[in-house]
Amino acid sequence: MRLEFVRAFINITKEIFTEVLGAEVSTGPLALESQPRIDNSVVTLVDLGGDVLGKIILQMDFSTASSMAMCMSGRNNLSRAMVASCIAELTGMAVGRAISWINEQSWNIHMTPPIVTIETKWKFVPQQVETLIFPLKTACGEVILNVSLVDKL
Amino acid sequence: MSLKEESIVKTINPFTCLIVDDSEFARIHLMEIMMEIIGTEKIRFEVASGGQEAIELYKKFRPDLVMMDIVMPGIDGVETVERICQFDLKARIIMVSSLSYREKVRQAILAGAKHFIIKPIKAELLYRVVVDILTK
Repeated sequence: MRLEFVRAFINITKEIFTEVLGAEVSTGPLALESQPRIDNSVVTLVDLGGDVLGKIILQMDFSTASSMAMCMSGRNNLSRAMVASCIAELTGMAVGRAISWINEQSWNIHMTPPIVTIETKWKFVPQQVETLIFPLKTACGEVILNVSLVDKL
Repeated sequence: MSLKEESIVKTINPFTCLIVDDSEFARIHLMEIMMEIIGTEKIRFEVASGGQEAIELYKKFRPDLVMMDIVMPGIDGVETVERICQFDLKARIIMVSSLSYREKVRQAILAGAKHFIIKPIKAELLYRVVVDILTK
């Protein structure tokens, strides 16, 4: 797993969250685990292709997602669909910006549109995929950033 | 003075704006910013959640302005721009995306986009770009 790519995903996710949510974001202790840390609350998945294969998965509870969506939209009482849309947009901005940085270093990586599930049983949890796990502490609550990357080259 | 009160905005005729983004939040957010910076009375919006729908709506309404995301399911934003520009070389399209590395920007411009704005959107920058494109 290329650490420069991992660093890009962490740092740029922090930057985007800070910019969009308007409050500082800090990181908790890093962990390396044998598979992504996700449960069945709010899970956002982006698949990566090109020079690396991988997945970026964000995990948070519904109250964190809802609080972030309210902050982004300036509205209260959002539907679950709108909360999902806000989280997809936020994730898309973070991953898109990170990929842009990586591609400027002469790599070629592309991404799928983010998929958000809320309280859905995940049947396609990647098994035995080494994953770096970063807790991001935001004003809205904790987000777990899972980064799984496999070099193709 | 707010942006929509600047004298140059008063010279812009009412226009139709097609917003293309697979995210409902992004479409609404963009509409809200546009109404804030240009004024509600000037703009009629059409929205599309994907490339194919955008092409069909473009042919139907011939909007004065298009705001186009890049990463979408199905036909992506760059290919959508290419297809719209095959139909109308003068289409005025602004890319609005977080995917902003030089090669992607180059592809979008070659496809026919006139401007490129990086998400998260800054209202002031969007204002300058919209005024520039609509007053040319």
